[in-house]
Amino acid sequence: MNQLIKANRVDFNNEEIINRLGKLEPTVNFSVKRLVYYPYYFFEYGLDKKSFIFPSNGLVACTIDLISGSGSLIDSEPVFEKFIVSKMDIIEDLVDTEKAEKEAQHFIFRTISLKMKIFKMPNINLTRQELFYRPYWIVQGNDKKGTFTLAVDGKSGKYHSL
Amino acid sequence: MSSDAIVFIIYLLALLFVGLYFSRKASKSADQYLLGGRNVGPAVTALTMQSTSMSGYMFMGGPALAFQQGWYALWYALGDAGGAIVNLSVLGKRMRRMSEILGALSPIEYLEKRYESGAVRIIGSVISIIFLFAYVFAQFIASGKALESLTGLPYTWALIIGVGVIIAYTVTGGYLAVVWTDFIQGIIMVVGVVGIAILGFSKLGGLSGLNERLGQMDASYLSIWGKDLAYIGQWGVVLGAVLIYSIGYMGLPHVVVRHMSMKSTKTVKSAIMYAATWNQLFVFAPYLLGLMAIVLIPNLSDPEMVIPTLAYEFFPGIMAAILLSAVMAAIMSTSDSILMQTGTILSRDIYQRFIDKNASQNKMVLVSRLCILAAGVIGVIVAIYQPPSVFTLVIFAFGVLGNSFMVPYITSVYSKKSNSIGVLCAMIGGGTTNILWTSMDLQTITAIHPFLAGLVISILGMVIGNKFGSAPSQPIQDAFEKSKGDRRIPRSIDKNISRDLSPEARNISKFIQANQPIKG
Repeated sequence: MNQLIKANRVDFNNEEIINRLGKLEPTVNFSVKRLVYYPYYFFEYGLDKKSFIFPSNGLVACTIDLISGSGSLIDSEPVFEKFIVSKMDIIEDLVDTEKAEKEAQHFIFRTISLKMKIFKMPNINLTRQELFYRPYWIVQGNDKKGTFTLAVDGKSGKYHSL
Repeated sequence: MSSDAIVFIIYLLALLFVGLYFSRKASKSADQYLLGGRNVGPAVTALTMQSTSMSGYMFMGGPALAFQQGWYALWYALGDAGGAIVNLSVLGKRMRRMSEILGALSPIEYLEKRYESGAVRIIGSVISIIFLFAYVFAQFIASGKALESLTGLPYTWALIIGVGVIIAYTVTGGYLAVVWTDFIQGIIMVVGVVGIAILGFSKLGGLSGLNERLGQMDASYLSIWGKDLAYIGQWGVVLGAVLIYSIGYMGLPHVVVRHMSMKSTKTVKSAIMYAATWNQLFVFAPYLLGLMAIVLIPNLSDPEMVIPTLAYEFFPGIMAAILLSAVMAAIMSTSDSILMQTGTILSRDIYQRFIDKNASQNKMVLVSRLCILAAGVIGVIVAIYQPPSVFTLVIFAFGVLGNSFMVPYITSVYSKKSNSIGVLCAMIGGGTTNILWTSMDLQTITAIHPFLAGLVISILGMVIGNKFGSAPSQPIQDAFEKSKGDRRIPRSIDKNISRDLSPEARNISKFIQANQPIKG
């Protein structure tokens, strides 16, 4: 069974992943097992704070992890493309849209309060929201000590052990 | 107005201009501002980190101690340099894993989650906030002194202006703190301090020449026990001096904002390595300048003016003024970030949680900024009426933070059974002992450094308190086991793991195990 989803394009293909990991640790034999899709919600807000510093009311955006519910600030406008993938490779979300939006607002306010020099919290208004998936490679490493598994972000190339 | 004061004003205006230029350039999206320019490459990032970590202590407190005590002062530098390595390699790994498992964003939140107690968070926050303000007060005093030597104004006026500038900068402006201005400042300070060191060493005939001259003046300057062997045989004092910096920072509220890269990052960023290297190189320099000052400017009346005086001694007036302006700006930058963080913690963790649960976002910002203003007013009053030295205040603040938090952090990953009662006893006992030991000057009677005394009481508090609390829950015990790490993963792979992917990794792991969409 397949499903049409919006997702980030894979910027690191499986060969590149194996190559990069192999350079870090040549004694390990790496192999890519599969690609899974992780659910996020993207929220973009218009920031009502016209000033000398921000002459054109700024934008601020974040993503909410739809399983843990945690927020992340993002570093550039994301581009999502449509892909048809197997349902078996899609991780099901656990956070609904309403909850995600609430969390996104909370996350943005907390970040502004910590980082921006303001006396008054600027008004924010939602300008774009989108459910999207991010590809993660599941990579297995084998060496003398045994086997271990990594999840490698197909977009950024960053990884974490499983 | 003196020409140096004009240099300072021009310097600040130039920084403002650079800050405005880059802020406006990035104004298309506030993200750029909030992310603090993350795409500038490792070297710039490293110097930026370096420049914000250079505080008033580095430029005033450290050299002053070396000027007064000779080589003994290097114990503190040793703790700073070596302690960080020990910390990262021994404690750091487990704590990092544990904090990932618990999903904690700050050290205080980590303690709350590990010990499953809101009381731990409240007491931890209160201790952390009070002594962070004490640390900022030291920066205020340093700013007064830096401005005094720049402008020639009386100390009181220099202090009021200095703190006024810092508070205004923190609450309303802050646009100087964009990455490029920090980078420029970092370069000026590193070049300035290294320049003074090179000129000083060439005048004194290198390190051996310096030691020879120190020995001729007073052989006890060369001793590890302090001038006139004041601390001879007092290992309790020395151990405290070494430990204080390696641990104290754990009480600092690092509030992390998680980022997610939307671009591919095909180059490996090594900013942290650069910064660590810089730190190791830089940590000894201010102390060495203090030693040089013993020989070069023996009649200096205020030991904390070592670097400003040496700058004017070796550099043309305008260069010295630029260096001091950079120092002042660095003090502003350090105070700014700590004040912002403590203000936010006060408003969210104390005000919203216990006083007004339904506070609006605007009210929270207002509370946070008012706290910063109040800290400024109190800081000025303390600094005018009873000014402690920068060194004394920083050591005191770091000492209490270390005594309150060191034992709880270590036991969080090395003692499975440690519980909330033990932690509360350790935090309160350790911190209070340091405060009493310092204020009653018990070091003179006992030959034990306040930090060591606090440490012993904190350990006792933990051991005794643990007997009265209940054992940690099963999930925490499981997290404890997991924090020991996966020994199958090679070190080179483990070292480069992106910790910010931890929540995703945990969920993907469950998905893979079940081989189906995860439920609940």
